[in-house]
Amino acid sequence: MIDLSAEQINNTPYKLEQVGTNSFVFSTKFGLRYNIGFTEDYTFLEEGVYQFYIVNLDHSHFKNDPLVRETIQSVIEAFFQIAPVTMLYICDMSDNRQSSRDRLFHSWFVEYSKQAEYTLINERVNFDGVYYFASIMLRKDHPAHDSIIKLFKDFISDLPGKIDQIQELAT
Amino acid sequence: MYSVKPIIYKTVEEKRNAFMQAVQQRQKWEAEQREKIAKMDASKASAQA
Repeated sequence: MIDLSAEQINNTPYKLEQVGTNSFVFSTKFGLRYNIGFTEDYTFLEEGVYQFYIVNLDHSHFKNDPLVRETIQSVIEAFFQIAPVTMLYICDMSDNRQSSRDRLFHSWFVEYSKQAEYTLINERVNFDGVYYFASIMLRKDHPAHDSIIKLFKDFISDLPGKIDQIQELAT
Repeated sequence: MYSVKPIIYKTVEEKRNAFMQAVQQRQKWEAEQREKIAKMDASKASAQA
C-alpha cells in the first residue's frame, strides 16, 4: 500500500500538513482550506487503484487560484512516482455541483505541464436522475496501461445508467 | 511481470452497488478527515492558549 508523507511531496506552492495516512490539508491565500488524499479502491480491480479526494473544507465558492491546482498536481505527481498505480476520481455530488467539479478537474489536467505523460479517461453515469462523474488517471508508461483502461470502460459500460459520452484526454 | 486482476461481478446490479460503494467511500473518508482536522485545530488552539 502506498504511504505518502508530506515530506515526500516537493515544491508545493501551499504548505501541506499531514492529517493522517495519505491525507493532507492546506490553506490558500484567500483563506480557503482544502483536504486532499487517497485510499485504496476495489471497484473494478483487486489492487493498484486508489480513489482520490479533493474536499473544499469550508464549502466556499472556488476562487480561481492557480496555486491550488499546482499544489494538487504536486501531490498527484508524488503519488504516481511511488508505484505504477491508477487513480480513480469520483466527483463529490453532495451539493449537485459534480458537473462543475468534473469540468474543473479536466481543465486542471489540460493545463498540467506534464499532461503528455498521463492518460485521463472520463465517464459519466446516471442513476435515478443523478449524474455521477468518474475518471481514471494513470501514467502512460504503466505496464498494464491498455488493459486497465479497457477494464474501466467495460466496468462503466455495463452499468445500467451509462451515458454514451466518453472523453479521453491525452491518450 | 505486472498482472491486472479485475473484480468479477455476476450481475449489473452488483456492479452498480460497487460503484455506489465507491461514492459512499468518498463520503465516509471526508467525514473521517473532517473529524481528524477538527481535532488537529483544537489541539493547536489549545497549545496557543
